[in-house]
Amino acid sequence: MKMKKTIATVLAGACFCMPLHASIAVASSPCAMLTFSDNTRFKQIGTADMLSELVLEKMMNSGTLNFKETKPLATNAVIQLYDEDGKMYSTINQCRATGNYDAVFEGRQFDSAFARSIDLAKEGDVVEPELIKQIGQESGVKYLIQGSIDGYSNGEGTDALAYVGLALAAIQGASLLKSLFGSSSSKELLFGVSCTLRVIDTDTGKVIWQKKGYEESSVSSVSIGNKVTIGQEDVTTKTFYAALNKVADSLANMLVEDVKQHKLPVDMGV
Amino acid sequence: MMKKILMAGAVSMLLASSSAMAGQLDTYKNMLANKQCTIKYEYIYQDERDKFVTDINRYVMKYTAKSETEEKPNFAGVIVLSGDNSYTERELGPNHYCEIKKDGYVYPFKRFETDKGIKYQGNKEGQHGILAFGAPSDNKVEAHPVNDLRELRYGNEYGGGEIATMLDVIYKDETALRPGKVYWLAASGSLSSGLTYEDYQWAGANGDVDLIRYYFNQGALTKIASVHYVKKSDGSVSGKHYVVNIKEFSSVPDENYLKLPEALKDVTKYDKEGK
Repeated sequence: MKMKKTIATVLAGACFCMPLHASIAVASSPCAMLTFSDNTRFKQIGTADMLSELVLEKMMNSGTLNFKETKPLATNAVIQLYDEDGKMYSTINQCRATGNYDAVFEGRQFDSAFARSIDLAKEGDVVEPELIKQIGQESGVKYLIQGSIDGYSNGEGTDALAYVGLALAAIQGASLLKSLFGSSSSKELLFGVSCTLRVIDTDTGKVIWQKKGYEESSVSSVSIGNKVTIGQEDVTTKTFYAALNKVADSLANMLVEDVKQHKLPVDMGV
Repeated sequence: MMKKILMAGAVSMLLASSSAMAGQLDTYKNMLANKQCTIKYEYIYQDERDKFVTDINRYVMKYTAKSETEEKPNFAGVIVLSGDNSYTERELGPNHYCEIKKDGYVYPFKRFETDKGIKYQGNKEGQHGILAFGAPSDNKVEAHPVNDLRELRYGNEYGGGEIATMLDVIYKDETALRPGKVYWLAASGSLSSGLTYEDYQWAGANGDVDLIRYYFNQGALTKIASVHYVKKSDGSVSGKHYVVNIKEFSSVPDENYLKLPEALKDVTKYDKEGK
């Protein structure tokens, strides 16, 4: 009995000293998602907002990360963070007025420790530390998750029907099918989205994790004897959303998996 | 009186040092004007947005999106000028894209290293002016005549892209019919590191602006940094930044670069006048 009590006391003490401390450390690492940045020529269609919400929703559903905000942040500080070209242009004009260009060439924009802009930041780069700190303090988070839309792609996929035709040619008989496929053609049109996701430490502005994701969605159609066309011949809004959904899945999974496997230099996991 | 003399002395010293600093590019201007030089450089920073601003072919996108080596694609380059003959080289990953311009003909080829040593690929026969490289076994090049009309219009360009602009600022071919942007000296001075600099600028009527800073270490050009900002119709601006480290900029052309590599066979069908 006494032995049991001693073990219980030791265990309780151990629990009090260590795991509690660890759980506090984990619980005190909340994060927030910033709206994606979009410097493509399709900026006006609002893909950044859609993608941010999709990625955030998928990461929240995983239950792996401790989100303080349930909406992507789009505060004034975030808008300023994304307007690095506008800020630099103002600096250039100030320099032109004074005739001293040191602020342009000897500042952060040409310091290799700093990222030229958030959408070009790589792992290890520091991004606007004052603004990042301000966003962190305003939202009460230690880490910011930020993504950028790098670009869109399009093109044609493999002609699946050609393989069907080859397979049929190897089969004895099947003359009707062969004649049908012989005068047929198929088309696969693809739409792709390329994005980057980053995790930024708000204390330092340093990018502590970064990965790229590329996903595509397609529509297919089969034209038989140039008379009947089955399927969809053009990329539509549905294809666009499907590609966004896939890339959001891919980005969210990459971060969640890396957090679970402790691949980040900090423990962001819940 | 003494004060006046001191003041005048200080002013003349300032003017003298300013003009001395401002003339540091002259040495390089002369090398380019005389077309006698060897330049070895490293392109430090290339804006990744250049590749990701529009919809592009899915195969290209797929490759660039997944290839980590594509990030911050710095590259080394060589430019050799020897009269009207020249050599340019850009190292992109394992491939060195080279071009010899000699006796009125241009020989584009690629050099790359394999497990079995250095290999060469020239452009395909019949595809003049197109860098469409043949099969790895080709090891042959077919030259095409120099595009005189282009040179007449825009002047000589070396290295392509921003390096061409940066050299163009040092020496502009004023005989060109359309010489392009004209840059002017905006400032010069010295830094706490001991380096000196000269700043050149160009400004367009619509608000576009380019700034280029040339860095010197005891008179030797060591680095070039530039910013290029474009003002769009909606009032927003977009910018590009570049840095080039100059490893060598000498007045002696390295003639070895102007010879076709022995492993690369010249299959040019020269016209009746020959080369």
